[in-house]
Amino acid sequence: MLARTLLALALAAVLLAGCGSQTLQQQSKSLKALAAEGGLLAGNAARGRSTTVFTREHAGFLLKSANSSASALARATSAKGRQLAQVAVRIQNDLERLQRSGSDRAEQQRLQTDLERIARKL
Amino acid sequence: MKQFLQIALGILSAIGGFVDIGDLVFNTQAGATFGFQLLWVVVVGVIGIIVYSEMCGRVAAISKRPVFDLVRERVGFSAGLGTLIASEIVNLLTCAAEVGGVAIVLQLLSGLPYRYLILLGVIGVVVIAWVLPFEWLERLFGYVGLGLLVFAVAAIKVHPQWGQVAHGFVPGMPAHNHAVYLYFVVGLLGAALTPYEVYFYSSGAVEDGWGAKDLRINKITSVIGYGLGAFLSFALMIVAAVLFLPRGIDPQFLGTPALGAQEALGKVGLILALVGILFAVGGAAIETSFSGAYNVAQFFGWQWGKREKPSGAPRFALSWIIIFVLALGIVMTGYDPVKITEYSVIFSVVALPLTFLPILLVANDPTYMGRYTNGRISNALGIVYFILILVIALSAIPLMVITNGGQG
Repeated sequence: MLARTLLALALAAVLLAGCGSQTLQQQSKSLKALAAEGGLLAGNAARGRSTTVFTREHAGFLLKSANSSASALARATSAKGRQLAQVAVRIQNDLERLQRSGSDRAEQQRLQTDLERIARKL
Repeated sequence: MKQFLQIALGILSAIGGFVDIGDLVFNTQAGATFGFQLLWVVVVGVIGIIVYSEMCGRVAAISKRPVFDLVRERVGFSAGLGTLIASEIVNLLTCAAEVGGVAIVLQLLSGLPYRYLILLGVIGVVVIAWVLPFEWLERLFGYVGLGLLVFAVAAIKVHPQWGQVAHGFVPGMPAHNHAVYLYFVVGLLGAALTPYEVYFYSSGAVEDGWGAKDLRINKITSVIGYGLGAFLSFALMIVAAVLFLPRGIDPQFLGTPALGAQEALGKVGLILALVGILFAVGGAAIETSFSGAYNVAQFFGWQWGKREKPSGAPRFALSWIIIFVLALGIVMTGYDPVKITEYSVIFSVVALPLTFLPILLVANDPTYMGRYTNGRISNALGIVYFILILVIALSAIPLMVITNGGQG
């Protein structure tokens, strides 16, 4: 009986926890995290400390997350929301370029600078 | 050398259980969110898993019976069935998360498409689990998983403030974010005390044919194996605290811990970290599928064991293959393996009390154990940890809801 009740509660909790939508503050925090992680990845790539495959694939994971943030923010109506939507698009563009950067270290360094600047501002 | 090979069971249990995808994610997130403040939780968790693993290894060695055999006998059919269902759900979710983890790491190493790699990863792991004998599975995944030691080197290379690290071993409460902090405490304890580790460990002890003469190796194995797991957890948390917390990075991807090793040690660090993670999550995938098969077979009294030829224990062999097939189906839906593992860790606490209570009862029962029953220290620790397990079992789900799965 106890086990069944706990199971039901756990399932309900999983559903509830999965349904939470993000506030603008959380979106801003997520974007900062993505920009910072992208900047770190780009910096390592620029210094020849990464493999081309890892840079491309990990940037792809970050990009997927940035895409979903950008989609959510595209519907924002407040000034803060629209501002964040623009930032999300900029991060998307940078991560797309990082994904395609191959072994272009100058490009990777530019992207590192830009992504780190975005992360600092957020 | 012989003893070194013998402790492989503990190392596989620790690498595949203590440092699986759940721990990689939870420890890195804990360091990136709270710095060194949660290091003490790893100590609490590792002592608990050592106490109960030593106990269930001793029970297996003396009574020749693994945990789930005893669960049904000591808690009765209905409660036993409830425990079995909860454990199987957790095993399946964890196995799915590990299979997804294998595919992600292969993608980060090869650049091939994720969906093909899920299939390739499952086929590879099933073939390895089918072909290799039990002791070679322990050795392959346990020892190659030691590539994760790169995080220990990285933790030194990032030059943490060691005074602050030491302070992290003292329990405390941060000035803000109390609920999220407690969510991480429960998550880290849940990840350390996952039931599948004890199912696998005790069944493995029976598979390895342990007897009274192996009680010393049981102690060494549980202390060294899980101690090593804790050491790696510290390293992951320290690297995340130094590299990710100041930048505001929130590790949501399996590649993020590897990025930490890369930042500290360059390309070599990156490759070693990815290979270590691949074998740790691959080993955990096998552990969870075997644990699921062990549980069902032991509960229903079927012939079981990896040492048996599949024709000698066909329902056992079919069970672990079915678990892999179901896990494949879950991951193929495209649900994020990292999210699956976060839920499975919290969900696993449901199965904890009914898993650990029979071990404690049987380890104290002279009918099973003769003169090898628990001593005073084992009993005191066993009871304290059982109370702790009850507390985390009751608080895990409310905390998950309140903190929106740790998002705050």
